[in-house]
Amino acid sequence: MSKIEIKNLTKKFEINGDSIVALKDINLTIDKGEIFGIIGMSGAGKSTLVRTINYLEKPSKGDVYIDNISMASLSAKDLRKKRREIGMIFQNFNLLEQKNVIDNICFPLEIAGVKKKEAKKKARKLLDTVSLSDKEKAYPSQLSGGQKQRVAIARALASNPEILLCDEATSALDPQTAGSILNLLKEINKKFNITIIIITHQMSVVTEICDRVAIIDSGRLVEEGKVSDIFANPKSDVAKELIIGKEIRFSTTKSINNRKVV
Amino acid sequence: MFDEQVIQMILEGVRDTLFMTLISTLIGYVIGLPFGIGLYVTSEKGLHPNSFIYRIGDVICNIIRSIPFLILLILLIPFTRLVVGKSYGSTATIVPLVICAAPYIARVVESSIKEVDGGVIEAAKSMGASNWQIIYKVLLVEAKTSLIAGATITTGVLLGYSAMSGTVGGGGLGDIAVRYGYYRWQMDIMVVTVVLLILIFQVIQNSGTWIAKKFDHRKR
Repeated sequence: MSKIEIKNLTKKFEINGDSIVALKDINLTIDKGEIFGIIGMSGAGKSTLVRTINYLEKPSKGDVYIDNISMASLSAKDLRKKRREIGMIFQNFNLLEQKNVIDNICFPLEIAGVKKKEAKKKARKLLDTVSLSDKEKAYPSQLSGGQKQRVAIARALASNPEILLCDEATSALDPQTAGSILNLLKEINKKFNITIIIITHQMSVVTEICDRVAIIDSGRLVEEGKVSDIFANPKSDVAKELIIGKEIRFSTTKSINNRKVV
Repeated sequence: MFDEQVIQMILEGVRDTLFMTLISTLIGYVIGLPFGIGLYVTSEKGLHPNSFIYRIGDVICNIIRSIPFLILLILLIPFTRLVVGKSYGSTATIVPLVICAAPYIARVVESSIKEVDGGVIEAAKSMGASNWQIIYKVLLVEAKTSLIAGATITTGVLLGYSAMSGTVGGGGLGDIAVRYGYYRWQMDIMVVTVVLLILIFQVIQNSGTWIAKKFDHRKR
C-alpha cells in the first residue's frame, strides 16, 4: 500500500534540438489501495507519465512522492531499491525469452539477492496465484499472450511491491483474455492490497476495474475523478470522445500538431 | 601416396591450424567481448551513453579493421617479435590474429547485444536492476544465441586468416599449402591441405550452429 503524489510534473524531450513537451504541469494524487486509471489517446503522454512514477523517465520539472518520499531525492542505489517496491507490467509482456517461466518470476528476486531456493518457493506460490502452475518449465515462446501476461504479473509481484504499474497491459490481448487479466488484477488488488495504476486507451478497461480515472490529452491532465462521475457527466471533449467512442472534435490531429510529434 | 614424413607434416599442420584458430579466438574474446559490451553501453541508446568514450572505441575499431590482415601481419612483425621473441611460426601468428580479431569481435558482440529487445531492458530497470546486472543477467543471456552464432563466424574467419599467415611463414595448413603448392607446385599436397581446411571449417560451422540452436528458447 502506498500513496503516490505527482506534483507539478513537466516532462520535456529534446529531439534534434527541438524541445517537445510530453507532459505539462500534472498534479495527481493516487490513494493507497485504489485502482487508478490513466486514459488518453495514443501519444497523449500517458506512458511517459507512468514511467515517471518509477523514474524510468526523470521529470524535467516537478516531482513524484511515494509515501511522502521524494523520488528525486533518492540516490541511484536507493532508487533501485525503491523500484523493487513498484512492480510494472507492459503491453508486450517483456519476458526474458531465454529463461523459462519459473526463472522469469525468480528474476527480480535474483536481482535483489534472494537465495535461489527461497526465490523458487515464492515463485511457485505466485504461479499458483496466476493459475499457471503447470507451466513452470515452459518458455515464453510456448505461451499464449494471456499466459505471458500472467507470468509478467507473477514476476511483478515477486518482490512484494506496494504499487503495480500497468502500461497498456491488456491492449495486445483479445477481449476475453483481457477480461480475465483485469479480473486477476482486481483479485490481486484485494488479496495483496496493492495500489494499481492502469494506463490504457480503452474506456472499457477503466469502467471494468478502476475506482478513479484521470484523462490525459496532449500532455495535460484534463479531467480527474470517480469513474462513475466522469462516465455520467464527462466535461472535456476527450472524455466524451473516449466514452462515446466517436470523434467529437473537428480535428484530433490539431492537438498532435501542436505538440510537434516527430 | 605420401611418405610418412609428409603425413606427419600435414598432421602437425592440422594441429597448428587448430591451435592458432582456437587460441586466437579465445584471446580475441577476452579482449573483444568487454570491448563490444563497452561500445554498446556507451553508445547513444546504451545503458550509460558517453559519446566521447564511444567515439574513441569506435575509431580504434575502425582503424584496425580497415587494415587488410596480410598487411597487418607484416606491419606487426616488430611487435610480434617483442611479444613472442620471433615473428614466424604458429605461436607468433597468434599475435596479429588476436589484434585483428579483437575489434572484429567487439563489433559482432555490439551488434548481437543491440538486438536485445529494449522492452526487456526496461523491465529489468523497473525491477531495480543495476547496469551491471542488466549486462550479465539480461543482455548476455538474451543475446546468447546471437553471440554463439557470432563466435562461430569469427572462428571461421580466423581459420581463414591463420591460413593466410602461411605466406609469411605463419605455420599450419596455410603454410604447407604455400610452401608446397606455390613454391614447389606439388598439387597433391596443396589439395590435401585445402580439403582439410574445408573439413575443419565445416566442423566449426556445424557445431556452432548446433550449439546456438540448442541454447535458443525463442521460436521453435
